[in-house]
Amino acid sequence: MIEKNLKYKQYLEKFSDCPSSRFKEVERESYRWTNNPLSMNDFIPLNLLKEPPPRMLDDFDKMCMGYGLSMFDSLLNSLSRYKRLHNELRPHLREKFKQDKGNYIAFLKLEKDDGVADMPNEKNYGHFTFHEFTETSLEAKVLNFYNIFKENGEFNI
Amino acid sequence: MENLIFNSEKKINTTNFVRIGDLSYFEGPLLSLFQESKSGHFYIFDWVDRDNKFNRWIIYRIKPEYISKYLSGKLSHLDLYKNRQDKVYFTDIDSHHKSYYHYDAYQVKKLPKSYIPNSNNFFELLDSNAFEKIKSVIEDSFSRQKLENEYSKMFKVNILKPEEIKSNYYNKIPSVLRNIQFIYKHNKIFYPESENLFISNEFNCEKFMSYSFLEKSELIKRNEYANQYN
Repeated sequence: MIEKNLKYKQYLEKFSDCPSSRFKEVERESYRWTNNPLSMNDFIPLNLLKEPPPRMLDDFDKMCMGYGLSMFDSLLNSLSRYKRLHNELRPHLREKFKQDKGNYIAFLKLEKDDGVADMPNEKNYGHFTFHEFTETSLEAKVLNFYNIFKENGEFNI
Repeated sequence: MENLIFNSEKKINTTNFVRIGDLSYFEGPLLSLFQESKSGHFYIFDWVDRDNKFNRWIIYRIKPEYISKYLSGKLSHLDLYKNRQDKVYFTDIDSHHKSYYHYDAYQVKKLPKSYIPNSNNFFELLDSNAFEKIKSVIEDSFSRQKLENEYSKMFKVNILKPEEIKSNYYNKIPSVLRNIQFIYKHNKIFYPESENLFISNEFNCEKFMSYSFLEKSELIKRNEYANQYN
């Protein structure tokens, strides 16, 4: 039997309840913003990225979910959230956002042996956080990529 | 990142800033509300730029009524910025992730156009991770303001924040109370019409005078009285 340990355990252990008991092993279709082809940072939790540095103002921002991966429960939700966030940013930050998050949405089928996730938040575009097990390689589980932008630069929605 | 023109001698001290919550958050704060614990003033940390080493924030003071209007969707992000008080400061926070108060915040001489917020950005409840807390802190600030206004209306006393007090003699409550006692004792000499000093709405802080001034006035009156037949 394979022992299921969470990746980045050394960081998760610093929190009292991380990930919380709400997180369960799931079988779920999921969508994550990435580059195509995948870059080194595409499946690295935010708090572990060196460049660019994550936005943090104090210790409150070093929260447990920063060691998990943001995902969405549907293509439309994933695209809509990207579009809204992109449009909220100042124009010069939109380009940086594309560099940071990528221009594509990767489609994956998560299985129970891959890790644990909370329930998709219906009020937040079906967003959920996923914590991988040590043996999981999400890069290898990508089944398809969807382009977020059309050729003319408009949103593909 | 943009090259900023700033005044390295003019800094804002953020050590007394308390983080209330984020008005906008996605994988980290985008627009965060702080309160200066001594003055009670509210400040916004607004994320404006980043490179591979730093995240840049501009900091500006904002009145609670504008935050309230922003929360209710009556003001845009741009309006919030336009209604700021005082100057704009900035701070660059590096990847060592120490808390904001470890980094200097300097006054910006001219804010680049690209840092001006969008006019079509409005508050979204789902983006805020502390809406209830922010709302309650703003409401508390309104109630405190209302109480202070009622008090000053009643006694015509200007209630100043500790840092606003320039003179030890005027407008500082303990001094005022000492003066009330003195004036009450001498009211027949100086304010014969205000017998009911403590319940009179006409009670006016401007009439408070220092002990030496009152003593001097009394002396002048006595001299005038004595000299009237000369």
